[in-house]
Amino acid sequence: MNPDHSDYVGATAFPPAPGLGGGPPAETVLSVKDLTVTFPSDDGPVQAVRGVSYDLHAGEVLGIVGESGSGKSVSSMAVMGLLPKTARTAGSVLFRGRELLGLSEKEMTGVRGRQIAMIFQDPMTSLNPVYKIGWQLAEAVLAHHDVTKAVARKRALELLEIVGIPSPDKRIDQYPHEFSGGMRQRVVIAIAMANDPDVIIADEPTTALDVTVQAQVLEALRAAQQETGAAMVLITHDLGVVAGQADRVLVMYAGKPVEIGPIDGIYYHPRMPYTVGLLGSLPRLDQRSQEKLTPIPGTPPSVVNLPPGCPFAPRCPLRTDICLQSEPALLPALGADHEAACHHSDQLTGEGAMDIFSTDPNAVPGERPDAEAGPPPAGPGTEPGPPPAGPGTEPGADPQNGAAQ
Amino acid sequence: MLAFTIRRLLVSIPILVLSTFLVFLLVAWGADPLGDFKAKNPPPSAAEVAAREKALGLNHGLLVQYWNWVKNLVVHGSFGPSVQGSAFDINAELSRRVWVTFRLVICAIVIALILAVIVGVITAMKQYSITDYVATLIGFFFLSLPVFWFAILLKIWATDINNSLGTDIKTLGPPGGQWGGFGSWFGFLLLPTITLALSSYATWARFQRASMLDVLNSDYMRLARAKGLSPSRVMVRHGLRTALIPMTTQVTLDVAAIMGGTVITERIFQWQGLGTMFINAIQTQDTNTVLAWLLISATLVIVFNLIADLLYAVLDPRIRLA
Amino acid sequence: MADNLPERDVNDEPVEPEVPPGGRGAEFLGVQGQQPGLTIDAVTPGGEDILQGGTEPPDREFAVEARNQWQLVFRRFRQHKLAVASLVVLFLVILFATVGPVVWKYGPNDFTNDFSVGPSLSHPFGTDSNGADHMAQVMAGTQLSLKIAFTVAIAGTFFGSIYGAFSGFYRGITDTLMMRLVDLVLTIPALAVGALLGKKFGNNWALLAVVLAGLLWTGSARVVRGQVLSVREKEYIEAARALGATDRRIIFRHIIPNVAGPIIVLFTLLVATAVLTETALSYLGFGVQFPDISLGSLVTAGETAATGGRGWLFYFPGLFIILIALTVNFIGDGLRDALDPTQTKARA
Repeated sequence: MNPDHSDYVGATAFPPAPGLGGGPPAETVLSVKDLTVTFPSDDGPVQAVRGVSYDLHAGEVLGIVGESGSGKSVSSMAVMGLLPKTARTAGSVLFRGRELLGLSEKEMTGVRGRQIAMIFQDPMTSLNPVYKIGWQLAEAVLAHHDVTKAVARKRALELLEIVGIPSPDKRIDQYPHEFSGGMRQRVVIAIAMANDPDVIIADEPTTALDVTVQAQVLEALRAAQQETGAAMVLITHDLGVVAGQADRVLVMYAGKPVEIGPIDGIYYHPRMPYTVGLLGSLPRLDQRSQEKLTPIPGTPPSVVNLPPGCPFAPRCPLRTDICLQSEPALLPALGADHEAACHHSDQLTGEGAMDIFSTDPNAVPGERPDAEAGPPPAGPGTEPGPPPAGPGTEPGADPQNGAAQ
Repeated sequence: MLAFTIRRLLVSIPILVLSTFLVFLLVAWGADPLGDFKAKNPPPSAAEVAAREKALGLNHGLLVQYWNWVKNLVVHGSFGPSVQGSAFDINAELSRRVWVTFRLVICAIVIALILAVIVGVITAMKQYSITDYVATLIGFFFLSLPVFWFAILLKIWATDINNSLGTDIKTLGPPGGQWGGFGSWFGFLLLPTITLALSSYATWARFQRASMLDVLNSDYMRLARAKGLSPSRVMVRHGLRTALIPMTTQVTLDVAAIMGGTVITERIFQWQGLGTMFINAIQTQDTNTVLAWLLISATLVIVFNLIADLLYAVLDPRIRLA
Repeated sequence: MADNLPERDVNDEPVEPEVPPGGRGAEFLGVQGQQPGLTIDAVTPGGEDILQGGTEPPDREFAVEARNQWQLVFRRFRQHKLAVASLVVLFLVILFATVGPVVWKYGPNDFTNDFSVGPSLSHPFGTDSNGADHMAQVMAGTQLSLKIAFTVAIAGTFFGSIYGAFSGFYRGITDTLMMRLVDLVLTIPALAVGALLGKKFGNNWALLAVVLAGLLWTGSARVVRGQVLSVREKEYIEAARALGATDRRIIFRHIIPNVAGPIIVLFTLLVATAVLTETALSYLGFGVQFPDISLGSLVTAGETAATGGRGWLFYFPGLFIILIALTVNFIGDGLRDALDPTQTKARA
């Protein structure tokens, strides 16, 4: 919204945001409170999101993790106001103190791309097939800046370079079908950073990509975030992706957050059996154990007519009567910044997935560790990563493309 | 682009040649140019029939006849003699009537197309609204309407309106092939154009709606909105622009049907165009005129095909390289 | 930044646009599309119901699947109110045309002493200037027009589907040649050639129907070809091939049953097209010829009568043409929705 383009062009040299971890608490840019989204359906209303709250601080990366249909994508689309008209949204979405829910389509156009940008899952279909890459990039720039086409094009070139497109001066005049999937996703990332947004929402940015290019795209994403200094919401079902990128993690289940906390806390001290289960289904490189991965038994519940109680209870080895009666609230579990929604989170100190899930009578028979016949547990990755395996490995219990995507 | 155009042009030529051959076979099989002559009373002698056959070039085998017909067409640009006698010059008659028909065809295509795109886009954007339902119902009705019957109905209505209001809606075609002034054009064109455009409009509007719906649900429309583009820009530059591409093919497919429709429309509104000429030619079994009409119609279709292909290449960059 | 990114990704082949070769309708297959197709005989559950004749009963497990599939189709069809109403109306029209002439006291060529009277109790549709009962004429015309339309639709869809299936199945040069022929046929207006040939064959309604079918089969051929192109890439075809099934077996036992849905829809739409084409030809005098009666030739007779104030001779035959075409179109629409709720494409 800044007509002065000399200032604007210079904006690419925006100083990288100070990484989190130290320093004073940063300003809250995006604050989501009690967000609910309901879709009408033939079988009654579908509560895709049942009350999501989180604060996103400037420059931080928040990972939202969950299975398909857990509402993680829908909640972000609601933030952008991109849900179909049939969706009913309630709650509050504050961007720098300004309420976004209920804004008109016209008012939202000023927010989208400029203040909050979004990256979608499938790069193969995200770009318009009939326009050149450069045109689509420049269009994004021109949408929010009163600059000449030549300036917009120059900016497009710059952006392509930042996201790692080789020979951008040639690539800029090509069409999307001349780009591979990974390259297209970089273009989408470049579009997202075109206007120096304060928040970038990346909705499963690597899911549709080949394992070999996922790391490169994540690299580009990281570059984009550092370049713009934007805070980022990284939605994924891949705990490996989150581990390498996020500062904090929000775990969602059946339309609700079940655990939120700093990355280390979530990975080393999970306080919700579902999180424990997710971590247990990941192959690990740092532990050369002969154990098999531990799957979570059962499937996620349907979000139409959820029964009372904790939605995870039917799959939970720790469930007791209270779990079937009342749904636990998100409460501080391990310090003020680590919250979990579980009646039994105090029992989960130091327990691993093996300890709690394998004793479960529902566990699939034959899943006990078998040193002789079992395949080596190590994942396919080669890079020595932070706690779990690098990008590309998926939790075993996650079917792709749920209904609510 | 030029290479593509030339290549595409070259592909059209064999299709046109094959098309002439198919048309020739059909006419040779379906019509008997001497039927009326032989049925005369008293019956003509064998010698008279033979002389007549020789005059029309029917005394050769089919392939030789075809060769002669093509040669005559290419070398002399002539469609050959008519059984309606030497006073009936097919070429002169065609050139007198061709613009009457083409004007009608082009008007109908343009009007049907504009309406179809507008209605198709609106109904797609307001899917499942009252507007959508009503427009869809009307479309189905038009699609199921016998055009010849509806044309007569329009004539009856127009006469009634003229009588009661003193207006001048033309229910019959202009006396000659030509007429002057846009104002008088419009009066003559109104009813025949509606008639001819109707069923194409219905098909196209439905097609445009489906095409637009596909685009509206696409990921790139969502990205376009996420960029912060204005709703109108999203709709026009990303939605409509892309949704128009499949229409080019659909329109081409229906050109032949519209050309066939002129036969009915011209007959009912008594236009002195190619359609009326064609009906007369079938009635008199004037094979060379029938051939000429079918050839013109096939050429028109092939030309439209060519235009559509080129347009497609311009509109959709994915095609150009192929 | 750009330097330490490997080039590999860039050199990937440009990816084709995500349009399946058949265009639409891949999802159409719904349940059966996901069958792994491990046994050759039971692979195509959806189709078994249609192609019942001559095929041995499928596995029990698959039979259950098949019934569910078609029950689902039936349930969805019932939700399309207009289609259900149209089915009832069309049934009544068919009764009117078949049972009507048997029951009604006048025949189309019986002359009464009521010349040119308007609709009344004794002559619900009025009479013409010869005193013939118009309702009897409309009954006879509807009967013949329906007979021709259904013959055209059956013959046209049958030939077009087989043609398209072979073309799409063999692909390559066969496909190219076969589709060029379709393009060729499409360059010629069906109505014009119909007029030319109808003049010769119009005195025999069955021949006329065959001529019309010969002009109207191209639509089915194109759509079925597209369907086959996408179906043939499915795993169960590959499985059948791996088990040594012959081409003919694959086409007739696996591919055709799986494109049955679109074929049914095409059939209904062709009935509507055929009715409109036949009546138009008959109106021009190049279709059904005297003494046979078609709804089209009745309109010709009624055209002058209408301007002379005897509108009933013009309105009734037209009304019945619309009734047939409209109900058939609605039924086709209902079937399309029922067979594939995700497909929103217009008719082919």
